[in-house]
Parts: sequence; C-alpha cells; structure tokens
Amino acid sequence: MTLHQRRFETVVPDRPIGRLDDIADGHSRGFDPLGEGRDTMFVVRRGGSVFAYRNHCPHYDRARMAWKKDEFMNGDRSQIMCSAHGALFSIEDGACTQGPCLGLSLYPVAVELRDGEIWITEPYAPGFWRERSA
Amino acid sequence: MDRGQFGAQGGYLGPERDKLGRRRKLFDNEGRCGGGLRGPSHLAYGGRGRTPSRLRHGIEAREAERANVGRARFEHHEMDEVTGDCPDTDVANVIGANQDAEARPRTLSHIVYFVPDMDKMANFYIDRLKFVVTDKFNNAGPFLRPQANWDHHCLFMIQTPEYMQGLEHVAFHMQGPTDLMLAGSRMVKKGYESFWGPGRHKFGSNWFWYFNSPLGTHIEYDADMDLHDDEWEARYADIQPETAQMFLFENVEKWTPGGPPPGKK
Repeated sequence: MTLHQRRFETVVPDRPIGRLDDIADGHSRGFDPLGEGRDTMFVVRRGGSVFAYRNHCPHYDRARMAWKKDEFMNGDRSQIMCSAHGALFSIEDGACTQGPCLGLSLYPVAVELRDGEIWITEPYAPGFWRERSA
Repeated sequence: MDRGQFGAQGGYLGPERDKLGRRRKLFDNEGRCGGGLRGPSHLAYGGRGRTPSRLRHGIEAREAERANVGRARFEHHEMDEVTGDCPDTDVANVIGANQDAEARPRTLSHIVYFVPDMDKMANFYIDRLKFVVTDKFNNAGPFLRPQANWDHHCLFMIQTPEYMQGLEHVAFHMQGPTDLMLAGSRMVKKGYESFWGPGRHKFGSNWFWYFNSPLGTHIEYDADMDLHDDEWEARYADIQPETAQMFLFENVEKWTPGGPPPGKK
C-alpha cells in the first residue's frame, strides 16, 4: 500500500464541507473534502438548493474544470463550464449541453443540507491522488 | 558605462568589480548579463537578445553566430544599469533567487488551433505562405514556422473531431525557466487553475505551463524554445505523454507529507 492510499481513503466525511451561506446564490464553489491539496468537487447554489459534482471533466481525464478558484460557471452563470476545453453542462443534472463530451454527464456527489451545512452523504473517493496509488 | 573588454574566448568581460567594489558578472556588448551555458538560440529579439541584424542578414548572420558561439553562450538578463547587478549569476556569493523579480511575457510565442484536417490546413500555410514544418506529431499535427522566424513553431495544429473547434491555446514567451516558474506560481497563488505543467516539451524543447482561462481555451507560458534553420530535418513521432513532455511537475499547495491525516486537522 502506498503512502497516498493510506492518506487518502474513500470515506464518508465526518463533518460538513461548508455552509450554504458560503456560496452566493447562483455561484459555485470548490471543495477539497479529503484534504488532497486540490478542489476535487464543487457545489453550485441555486436559491436554497445545491448541486454537487466531482471536479473532473468527463471529456478529458484529470481535467480540472475551473478557470480560477471557485469559478466553475459560464459567463452568465446559466450553466457549468469546463474551462479546459469549453464544455457546458446543465446545473441541475450535469448533462453536457455543448462541447466535446455531448452524451456524457458530470459525476454527481451526493450531498444534503442539514441546518444550513452541506454534508456529503455517500463514500467519497480521492480525486487528485487517485491515479498515483498504483 | 564602462563595458569592460573582450575575454580570451570571445566572451565579453565586464570590469572585475563595480563601483561599489562588488564582483561583477560577465556581460555582452549589449549590456546584458550571462547566466549560464546557452546556445545562440537564446539570442532572441524582444528581450531575449537576438539582434535585428542577425535576422536581416540570414546566412551571413548564421555563420557569424556560429563563429560567435563562445560569445553567445550566455542566457541574457537585463543588467541593472545603476548597480551593475545581474539576476542569475554563477559568481560566488551572488544570490540568484529573487522571489519578487518581475516576470512578464516578452513576445507572443505561438498559437494552436483545433482543425478537422491537419494536412489541408498545414498545406495552406506551406504552399501559400511558405511556412516550414519543423516537427510533426503524426496523429495530431505539424509544428510550423514562417521562414523568417527560427522559433521551432509559431503555429501548431491538433486534428480533432468535428465537435472540437477553435483555439486550443495561445502561448507567451517568457525569458527563461525562472521567469516561467515565477509567473506560473504567481498565477497559482492567485487561484488560477493550472491545466498542465510546469514541464518541458521534447519537440521544441520549450518549457511550458498551461492554465485554464474563462475563454474555455488554455493560456501558456513558454520559454527557451529551440531555433531551427533551413538545414533542420523534421522529426516525426506519435503524440504520447513520453513524447510530449520531457518531465512534468505539479504544484500541490496544501500537501504536506508530515501533516496530520485527513479528518484530524
């Protein structure tokens, strides 16, 4: 077992990743639930709802999607955008609506709101280090 | 300012000590400092030191440059006219690393397009504009340069399916790896997302660091690209990580090997 496998195991995090209030309505925010040194997922807020996906474009392996910390949206914030190659995705279901990964979808992360806090509810696998543990 | 005298091997030597009595570094007749062993390729215009006359005179300049290799073996840095200080030096007791040094792009380096038919696109530049293929990734596309420009490429193409169109990236020349690392790490610190790099390409030998951008295309810093003239014979290879990069680093800001395990911060 490598160092990275020991350090970054698939777990259900035992604490919230953040608060709903941390995200401005209509905006996105990146999170690093396992402390890997990279935002491995992001959350988009719409009113009182949140939509969470892995920070990993289905078009291109290991492609991180933001162009800057927490910037996962297109210009008018109507869709999620991968700024690596410009693919657009529906906020609600993560389906690619334009670009190189039509027919594919973002990888959802199961989250729920508890007292204004965002909790991951299912086992969460490492993102950034996943390929370095062979 | 006293420029010193020519050294025995053609290197241009400055006064041994500056006005403040500090040891001074080699510099050339343009007042730039040497920083290590470099080929004539690094005498480039736009801050990299290539003189316009070398560009104008073609073959004669090339021969002159070969004859002057001894004099050209320095990576050039702007010297501080007041203090005579040079940034990167190999003189004893001179500090080379400067966290606050300016690191700005010198010139536009190259542009990379997604194209549906790389040969058709390349032939337009070759037949109509007399571009030259310096190297080619068989399964991606050719590196092209116009004949008046010795940079390995100012144009590269990637053959892509119909749904990938437009611009892959625009690259800016930095003075060298130091400027590239400085500028790139400042981008990372400001929160911009690194896409690939820092590393060094094989074809072109240029250092690279790519960033995502809100345009949905990449922006690249590059440095120290090879120069080629008419005698160069193009190389051909399939694009793979091993052929595209000589080595690659990745910045991980928060990863500390001695830190606590996740969940126990």
